Amino acid sequence: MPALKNAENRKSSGLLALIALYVFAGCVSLIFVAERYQNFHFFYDDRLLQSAVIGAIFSLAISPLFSFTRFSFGWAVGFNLYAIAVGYVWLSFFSPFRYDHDLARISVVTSIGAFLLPALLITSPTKYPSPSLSHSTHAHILLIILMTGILTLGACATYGFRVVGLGEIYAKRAELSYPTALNYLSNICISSLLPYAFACYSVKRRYWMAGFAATIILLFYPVTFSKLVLAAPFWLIFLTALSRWFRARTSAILALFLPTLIGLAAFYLDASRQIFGVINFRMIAIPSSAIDLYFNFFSNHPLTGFCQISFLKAYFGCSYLDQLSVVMQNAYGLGNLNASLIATEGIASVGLEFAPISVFICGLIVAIGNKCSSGLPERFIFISSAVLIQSLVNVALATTLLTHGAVILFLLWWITPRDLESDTRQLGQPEGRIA
Amino acid sequence: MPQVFSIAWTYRWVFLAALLVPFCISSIVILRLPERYTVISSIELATTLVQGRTQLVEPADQVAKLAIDQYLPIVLAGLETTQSSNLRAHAAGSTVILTESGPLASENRLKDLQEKILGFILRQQKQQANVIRENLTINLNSAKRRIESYDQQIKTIDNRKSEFEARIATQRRSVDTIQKNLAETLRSASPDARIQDAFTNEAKVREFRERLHTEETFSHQIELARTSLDSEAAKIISQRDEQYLTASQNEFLLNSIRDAHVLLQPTKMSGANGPRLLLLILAALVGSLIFATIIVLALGQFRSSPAR
Repeated sequence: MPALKNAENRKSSGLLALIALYVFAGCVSLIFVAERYQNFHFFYDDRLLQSAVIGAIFSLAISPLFSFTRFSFGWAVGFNLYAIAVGYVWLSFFSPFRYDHDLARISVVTSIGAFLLPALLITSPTKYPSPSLSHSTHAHILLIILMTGILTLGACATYGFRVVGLGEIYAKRAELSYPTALNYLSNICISSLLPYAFACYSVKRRYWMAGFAATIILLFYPVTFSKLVLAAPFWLIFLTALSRWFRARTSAILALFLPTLIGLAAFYLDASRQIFGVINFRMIAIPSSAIDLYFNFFSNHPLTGFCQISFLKAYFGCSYLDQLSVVMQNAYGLGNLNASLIATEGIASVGLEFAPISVFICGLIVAIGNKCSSGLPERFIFISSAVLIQSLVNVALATTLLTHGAVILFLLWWITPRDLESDTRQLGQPEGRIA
Repeated sequence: MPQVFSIAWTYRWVFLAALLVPFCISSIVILRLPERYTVISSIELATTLVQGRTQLVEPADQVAKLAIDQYLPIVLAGLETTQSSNLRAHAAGSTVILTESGPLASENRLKDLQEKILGFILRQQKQQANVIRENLTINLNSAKRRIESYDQQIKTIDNRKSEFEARIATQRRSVDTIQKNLAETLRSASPDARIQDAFTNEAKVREFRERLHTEETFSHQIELARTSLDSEAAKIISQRDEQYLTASQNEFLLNSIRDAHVLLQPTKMSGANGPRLLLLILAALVGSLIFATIIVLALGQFRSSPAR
């Protein structure tokens, strides 16, 4: 037991060091991004370096929270949002826009702190205990999920199934006109259902079935023309591999840190800079930059008051007729710009002064995910939420909950047998024999 | 890892102290911050038309920079104050916006400062607009003078043309007379006329023909001269039209120059203090909560380690 405690102390300080290293790599990455993507409002100025470094170090003051709390869904979401917030604090010193940057930085750091408190600390199980499903029933649920994925894919394919290059996806996506229900279903399959099935099979070491789930996700690319869908299976495999070698918390940090380092190396090695563009620009820098754009836009435009949520818009009306992403595209011409809950539920909905309160409530909602997944293997939570977290850092929480099926994933976590890893004995055996 | 809340409960007094002490201190600091507000003013810069597009006589960014780098030190020196200024100037389209936050007591000073800077900008903009106006006026007057000169030239050409036309008419009459005399001489010359008369008639005919040739050559030359005058007149008319166009363009540009004008006189912005204070208090609360949580978690971890 004492040895375990010692190891835990070492782990905590190791984790802190890893977070600090990631923040350093992230800031360096943003300097390189500014060198290449000035047309996307990324800038860097040597004269402001000192202030930016002080800002980033100040943001690091929150990081011990990560090292002293155990892994949960909220932890993973919190770390990704924290990375975005630190990125914003860095970028804000070089921002070309005119708004109160000091207040904006205080608002973002307070918001992420307010989010982390419930998201990291509320991890106890729900009042209603998980229904103790048998492994065979759970296996049937997994099969139903796979069938749902296949049927949804088939339904989407009736509207067209074309493998196109990355350069053509935007034009093709504009042509898509699925019925609303099918649109929702395909998003839920991609972000929640199939990653859940993949994670279950991975943890149970049924790799062929996990591969099958990943293949179904990949097959959604020719019907959705989404980069996220194309990357999702490889992302899941990468995280599965990471989580085999490291604990969940370390894996969650490395999941951002390693790609950032790869992107930085690719900046010099890859002349086309495509790898750098996909990882360091699109995946890491854009969510931070979106906060800067949202701050600038809503510093001189009316707030949404949550009217970006369709049913609220129908009841209470809205200053904006278009979706928020389209409004931002019209304002800045950088494409349909969605942003994380800090920007959407926070800045856009209630303004920078009240953003921490709104983001705190988002933290409470994410904590429901912690409660539903309480008792499940950390590795399983990490893998099954991987695609959903990518949605969370790029779109609003309400969209992730409803359109991307976070609510369904919470429900699935709640009913998942807590001894999931012990089901590995099923390997190569027919389901009927287990009972 | 033990539950966070149970650790917090175990070290509840430490938690409370770690929460309340920084929160109270920071709250006191925040509440004792002097009440600040912002004075804002804006000015629309002078514009002119360049190639059909409205253009500022000087880029707004440059004017904003001038306001801070040049005018502000002059105004501060003129106010004979030792206080510094955190005035900000930024460009938004054709407008320069001046903002400055300060404590309640300095409202008049901030307004006065912005008024003076606006005055500097207005004067500098007027000077620049006047330089453009003068250039355009010079061009306009020059074009008008050229038009007058061309008109004079055209008038002279017209006079010469009418002279030529009169001479051509005289020449034609003269040619007609010669031709008539020649025909009469030819008719009067009979085959049975005396040899002496025949010689005389032949000499007359030759003389008429020579005179006719001379007159026709002269008429031809006059025609040529008139044609040359026509082309010269056309050229001058085209040049005059060009000058008309230049003059009208300059006149239009002259009329299209818009002087700089103050859009918003220095005004105190109200109501920004409340929510700002709330955000700072919220930040203090969240920061203190995180600090307290980290303290008790660290304490929990280190207390239970065997090294302690």
